[in-house]
Order: sequence, then structure tokens, then C-alpha cells
Amino acid sequence: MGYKTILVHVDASAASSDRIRLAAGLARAAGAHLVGSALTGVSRFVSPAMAACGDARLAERCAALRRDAALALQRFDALVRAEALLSSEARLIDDDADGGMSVQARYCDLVVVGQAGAAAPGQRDDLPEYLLLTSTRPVLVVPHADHAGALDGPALVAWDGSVEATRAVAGALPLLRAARSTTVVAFGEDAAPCAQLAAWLGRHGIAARTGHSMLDVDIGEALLTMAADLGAGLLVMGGYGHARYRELLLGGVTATVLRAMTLPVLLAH
Amino acid sequence: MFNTILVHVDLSSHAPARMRYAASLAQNHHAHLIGAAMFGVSRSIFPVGYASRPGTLEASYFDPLELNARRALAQFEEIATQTRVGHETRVVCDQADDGLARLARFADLVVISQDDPDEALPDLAVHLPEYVILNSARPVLVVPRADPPAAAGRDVLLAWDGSKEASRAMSAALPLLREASTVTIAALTGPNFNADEVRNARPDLMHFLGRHGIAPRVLIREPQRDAGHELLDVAAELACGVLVMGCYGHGKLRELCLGGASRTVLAEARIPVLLAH
Repeated sequence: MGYKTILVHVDASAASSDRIRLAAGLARAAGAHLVGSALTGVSRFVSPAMAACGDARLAERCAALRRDAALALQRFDALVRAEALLSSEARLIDDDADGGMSVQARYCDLVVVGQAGAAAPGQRDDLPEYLLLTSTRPVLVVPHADHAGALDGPALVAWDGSVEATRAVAGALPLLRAARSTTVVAFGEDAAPCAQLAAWLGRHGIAARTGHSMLDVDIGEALLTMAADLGAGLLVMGGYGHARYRELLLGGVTATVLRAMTLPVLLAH
Repeated sequence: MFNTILVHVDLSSHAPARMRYAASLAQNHHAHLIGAAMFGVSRSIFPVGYASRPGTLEASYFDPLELNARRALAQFEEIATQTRVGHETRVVCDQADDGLARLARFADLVVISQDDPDEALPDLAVHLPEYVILNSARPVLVVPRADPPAAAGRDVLLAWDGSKEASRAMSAALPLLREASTVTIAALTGPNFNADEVRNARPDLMHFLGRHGIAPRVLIREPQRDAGHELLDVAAELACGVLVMGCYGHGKLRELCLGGASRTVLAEARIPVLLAH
């Protein structure tokens, strides 16, 4: 299934424009509807009536948050017009970025968010992780550093045979179909299933090259190096296959990639 | 798109109906059909596969298992050839549950049968549907032991409670929903999901499906009894051929327990059910 509805997070950060452009380009190529969603940060549990009967400073603060979000959406509108998209909508929603995006993610095929570390002041900074764990859709994370490669350049798929990796590859099919080439690198002792993965991808019209790595430490760094060597425009991987506390203690592939990535990464959990 | 469909092949009395159902699905979706017969012995016993050494004690135990797998695959071969779908056969040196869950990684849909308490095959000592659903990354279509005709399933019922599990099932079932003659969304209200929430989410839901070329109708129901039975009742009233629903995993520690509704449906459904986890 191609992407028919793409949801992009719109905020006041400097990285927002790049992210919207990338999402708009994808939507245009796929003929998909693009939803630009700006979350005000005002809790959905605070109704306007409640805010009005509270302290005047509260109402002022809410109004300021809504104004910022509306400004960000104006930028979204301008960028979408410049990309000449056929179908799009801008949404201003009273909610936290994480909860609000997670609920809307149920009604889209792909979620596009920015890498953590570039959030606007006062916003939570773990949106990619949060969405990865709580939404059911693949999440495309756009780096905040300038990235040279195009999304439809070479793609690198990290494969360890896990449920998470399987979901990521399935969620990335439309992107892999558009990619100039697809390289699968398998980690772990068992290289055999790689051929089966290639056969399955083949029936989806994707000719993948496969390779194998015996590495079992610093996989995150290794992946990013491989992606750089390939000149990759996209990395596809499962996310948080290990329990969270283990990731916290030991650091993990997902955490490393999310922190150090310089190319768009598609993740699924 | 369903480009690769994996079907469980064994000597169960329900296997022919299951394989015919899978073959007709493969035909409708122009998919490649993989028939997998499991040897029945864990891959940890034979990590590189079983190679018979005639005349040994080992062979007297294991050769019949291999023979069974090959006999089952011969049946599959016959059905797949009749239906004229592109297919391949696999003998997998593993137990049915793990073998299917692992092969599911390289398929878009897995087709298995509902448990039949009247038929206890040795390799089905565990509850196969539960295990495969919870351990495969792919949607699983469970063909009921009522052995439905292959052509059934033009009207689809989608269970909706606003959860992420329901949302995952919806997106996994898109190819099936697209082929359906009608799609009905059954929104069952409850303590955590009231009719207002259904109404609020409705435009998003309709637009999302609409962009995939699906025009469902929405039915809001307050369950008279538990959600599982209610879904089966609605499906029967509307004469739906397939039910699509999400199911809860309850975290890694309780992975072997499915939630109440999916448990009821898996035990009692008389129509095929597509479940995603």
C-alpha cells in the first residue's frame, strides 16, 4: 500500500521548514494527502471556559501558545503552496506534542517528525521515541543537521530478524520502491534469512543487495558509518527492540542513531 | 499489498479448507503463495535441518515426521496448482508455532486455522493462533474450523475502539478492505470509549480510509454482553464474511494471554478473522 495520508509535525523550531518540505515532497510523489499538525502545548484537558475563569495570566499564556502554533502553520501553508500540493490541511490542536501526534498517527500511513534536540523552548524533546513506542505507524525522523542526500537516493536497511525490523521494512516499502538502490545489512550470527528477505522485497518490486555484519557492539555507530559510505538518503530500522531499562543502562542502537543521525531514519516498533 | 501469503500446511482435517481459502486470497491479490509444512521438532534439536540416516534409531522416530510434512505439502501442491497461483513449498525443520512466526517475517499475511478441540494433532499442543498472532509482525488470518468456502468474505466487519491495536489491524487489513464489497466499522462503546469519541474521530477515520479507496459505514453499538460476543453477533447480523480486529499483547510477561475479546472471538468465530498485534 502506498502512503495516502502523511502526518507532519509543525512547530516553531528552525528545523520545521526542512521537515515540512521533505514531507510535502513525499506527499506529492505519492499523491498523498498531507496533514500539517501544530500542537499548542495547551493541555486538551483545559477547556477555553476553564482557562477564561482562571487567572488572566493563564489565558494570556494560552493565547500566546496558540499564536505561536498558528504562526508555524502559516509557514506550513506557504511551504505547501510552494510545493504545489494537491491535497493538504493544516491543523491547530490544543494538546501536548507527544499525546496529540500519537492520537492523530492512528489516521495516517506515515508520521514525519524532527530529530530530538531541536525542539522549540518549552517543548518536550523526546517526540521520536514517544511516537515510536505509542503510535502504530512507521515514524520518519528528519535530522536537524543539513543532510546532503536525497530521500530517494540509496537506502540502507538494518536487519536483525526482529519483529521491530520486520515492521520497519514493511512500513518503508513505498520509500524503498522509490529509492535508487536498497542495501540490506544483517546483524547477528544467522545470515541465511537475508536471502528470504531479499526474495520478499523482490516480490514488492525492490531489488535489494544484501550483506552481513558480525559486529555486536557499536552497531548504531557502524550503521551511520555504512550509511555515510553508501551516500544513503534513508536508513530503515526497527526501534527499541530491547526493554527500555536496558536501553537506558547500556545505551542502545536506537538511542545512538536518534542522537547522532545525519540522514532521515524510518523506524517502527 | 498482499504480495506474499504464507499458509500453514499440515494433515489436519481443516487443512484443505484453509489452503483453499489462502489460495483464493492469493488469486484475488495476485500474490505468491508459500505453503509451509513444519517438521514438528524444534529447530534447536536440528539447527541445520534434519538429514535422514536410514536404518538408525533416529530415523525410525523422525522419518515419519518428514513423510507427514511431504504428504501434507503434496495436498497443498494439488490445491495451489488447481487454483493456478504462483506458489512454493517449504519443509521447515521446526515446531509449527515458531516455524510459522519466523517465516511470517517474509510474508505479508499468514493464514492458519482456528484451534479445533476435537482434533488434537501432536504438533498443535500449544494454542497455535495465539502464538503466531503474538509473535509475528504480520497480520494473521484465522480460518474457522467451520471450513468456510473459499469465495466467502466479500463483506468485512472492522472492530473499532480507538486503540492503537485497532489502528494497527485497520492498516494491516487495507488490501482486504479494498477488495471488500462492503466495509462496516463496528464501534463498540464502553467505559473507556464513549459514543462522542467515536463521533469526534469519525471524520479522520473516514478520510483515512477514503484516501485508500474504502468507503465504510459506521455502526455505533453499546454492547449488550462482552465485546467479543457482540462483535460476532454484529458480524452474523450483517452476514459479514471476515472480521478484522486488533488484539492486546499485555506486555512481554503476559504475552501468552490474549485479551478477553480476542480470546472469545478466536474460540468461537465461525467466519475468518484477521488479527493484528
